[in-house]
Amino acid sequence: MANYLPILVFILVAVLFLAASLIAARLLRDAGMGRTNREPYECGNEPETLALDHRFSIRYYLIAVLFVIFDVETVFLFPWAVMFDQLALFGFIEMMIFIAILVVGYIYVWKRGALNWA
Amino acid sequence: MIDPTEFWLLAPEIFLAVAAMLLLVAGSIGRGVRNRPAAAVALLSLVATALLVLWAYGKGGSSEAFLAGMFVLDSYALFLKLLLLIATGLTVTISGRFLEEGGYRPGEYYSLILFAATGMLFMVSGYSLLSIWISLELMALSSYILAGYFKRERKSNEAALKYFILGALSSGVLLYGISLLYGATGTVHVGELAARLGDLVSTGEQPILIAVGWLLLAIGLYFKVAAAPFHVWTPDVYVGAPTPVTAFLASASKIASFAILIRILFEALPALKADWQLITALVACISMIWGNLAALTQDNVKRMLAYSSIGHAGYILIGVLCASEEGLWAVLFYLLAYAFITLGAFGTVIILEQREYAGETYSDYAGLARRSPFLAASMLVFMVALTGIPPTGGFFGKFYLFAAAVEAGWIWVALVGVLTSAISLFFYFGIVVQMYLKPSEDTTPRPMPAVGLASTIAICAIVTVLLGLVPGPLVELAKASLIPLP
Amino acid sequence: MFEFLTTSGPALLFYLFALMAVAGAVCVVSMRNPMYGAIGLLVCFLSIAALFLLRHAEFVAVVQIFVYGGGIMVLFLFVIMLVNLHRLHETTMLGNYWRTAFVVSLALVAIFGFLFLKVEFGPSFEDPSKFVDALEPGMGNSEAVAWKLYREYLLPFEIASVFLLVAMVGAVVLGRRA
Repeated sequence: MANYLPILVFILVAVLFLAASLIAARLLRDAGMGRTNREPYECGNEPETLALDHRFSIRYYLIAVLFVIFDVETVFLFPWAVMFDQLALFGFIEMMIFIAILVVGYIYVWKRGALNWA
Repeated sequence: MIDPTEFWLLAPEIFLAVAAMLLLVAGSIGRGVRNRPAAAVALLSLVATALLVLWAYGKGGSSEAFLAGMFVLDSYALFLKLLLLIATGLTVTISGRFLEEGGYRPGEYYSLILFAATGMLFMVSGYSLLSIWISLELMALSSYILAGYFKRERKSNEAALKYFILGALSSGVLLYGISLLYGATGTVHVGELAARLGDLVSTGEQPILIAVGWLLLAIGLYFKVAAAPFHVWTPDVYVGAPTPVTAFLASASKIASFAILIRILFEALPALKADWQLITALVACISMIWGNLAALTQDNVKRMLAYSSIGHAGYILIGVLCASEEGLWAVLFYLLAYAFITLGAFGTVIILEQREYAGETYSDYAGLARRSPFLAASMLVFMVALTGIPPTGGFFGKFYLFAAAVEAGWIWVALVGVLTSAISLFFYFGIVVQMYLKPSEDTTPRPMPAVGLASTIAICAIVTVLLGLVPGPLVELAKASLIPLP
Repeated sequence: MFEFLTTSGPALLFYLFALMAVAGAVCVVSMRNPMYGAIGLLVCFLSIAALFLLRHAEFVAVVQIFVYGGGIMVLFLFVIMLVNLHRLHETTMLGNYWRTAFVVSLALVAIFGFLFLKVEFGPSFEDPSKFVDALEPGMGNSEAVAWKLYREYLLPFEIASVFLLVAMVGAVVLGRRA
């Protein structure tokens, strides 16, 4: 359990920092909460529509799925990196094959134009 | 720990995966590849893979597991790999039409088929529950995408979604079962699992963990072979998916799922033989009864074939539950015969169907014998074979299965099989009656189907009849491809 | 007081995080606003990660935060963005299926409750730190996973990368306009 002490401290600092900045903001800011304050972007520009009023392009979803896939890939990289020395050349070649297969996927996605926005 | 030379034994799978990737990249550059070259490349890679399978088996085929016990290349795996490659090849030859007419990109389609085939080949060689599971997922994921390949058709979207959600659920159930068995025994290696389960069962330890574990594992597998009452995904997926994909799911996918079902029940769970025999008998009977009764009420031929495929899962399970040599080779015989019959039947459906799922009802087959006698004759062969009437492979397949059941003392299961086969006569011959006795409203002769499609149907019909006339060689082959009995 | 904390601290922490995980899960199915549901899901994921940590499964905990807390959450937020939420508000939540759903989930709870109450787990279950030393003394959890995954499970691992490749193809094939 003692190994987790730094993490506990880290969490405490994070919580304290958040609480402190929220309290400080409350103490420092102007009391009035006008309409502008409640807008998503307090820049003075009127939003054209509400975020929930129209559907977004499917492309966003494509990007999200690709993100998750590469996210899972990095999970495999993590234990490999920890044991890089012991796994030696064998492990290195193995991981290169793994990455090469995913590079094939990357080339495919790129060439198919899935990353083009226009 | 791992001997790199052992990778040669899996050279066919690795080759097929590389071929699929090359096809994928080639299909993505510029306007992509056209249908015919892509199909030719896919077929050539399947042939090359089949040759590599034979080479690898000659080099080091044995019932010893290799690569740290992850895989095995025995004669059982050899038989099924060649069968799967044939079924995949025939799927490729019947796929051209929908790609060309719908304007769908062929590059991805054929590479997904090859990826699914790669997963299947790994599956039948898998000797650890984990290597089997990940290969199964490779096959399943490719199949979900293929089921939704008719992107502009709502039904195809529905098929992909239902298939994905229920498939993911069944994979989860399967994995849960594996994890509970791992919790009880501390291993996922098929051989070790059998040994430790044997010890635990004989001392009576961990009965609940083992019972729930193997039940979940078995339920996941029944899901994958589309046996009732775990079949709910089948009809909608089979109807909505592009017909070549349906044929692929009903033949290759089913064969691979049965292959791992048998491998796991026989080689990993021999200690629980009496339990799984009983459950499998129940599932087999429910599948035969439900599949055949529901098929009676269908108007759509694809949906009828979907229910018929549930019924046939029941017939094949009869051979599995015998847990005898006769039962096992009867299953292998039937899997091969059923692959040709079902690919041929769906091939005929492809020729008759038009855009937007039209041309799939019984009445669309009216007067077909007059319009195109060749097509009607081959459909007649397939329907006769599905019912199990001589002289077709379907007859001997069912005969061997029922005989094995009687010999192993499962007479009541065989009886259900015979009775449901009699029921099936009605809906299979409903099509025959339409084709030969009903007059057609549309008397124009059909345009000649594409060469690939027509020759595939011809091959399937010829093989179906040949198996009914000379079943001996295939029986000998199946008898040489057994795994240790539980 | 301090003695009580050191002896039953892990158990208390377990119940705390387990409660949070269940509360988060209940939030997911009961909140009408999908954004709150998503936040409930995040709470659930993070509490489960903490539970893994309590079992000394550090690698799984990291994966839980990384993939579920990061990737899957992003996916959910994108889906919430993509669907038209105004229509969702008007639909009933379970419709006609709530009875079936209730019976099925009750049966599942009963089965697994029975399972975990009745089953005698091995001695290592009592002392999770033994899992860590299972392979070689001094080796951490991630190292142990790597040692197994990249040597014994080498080919299944490469199949997993082909699997990810197919997932990518699927996203493009089904996600792009034809």
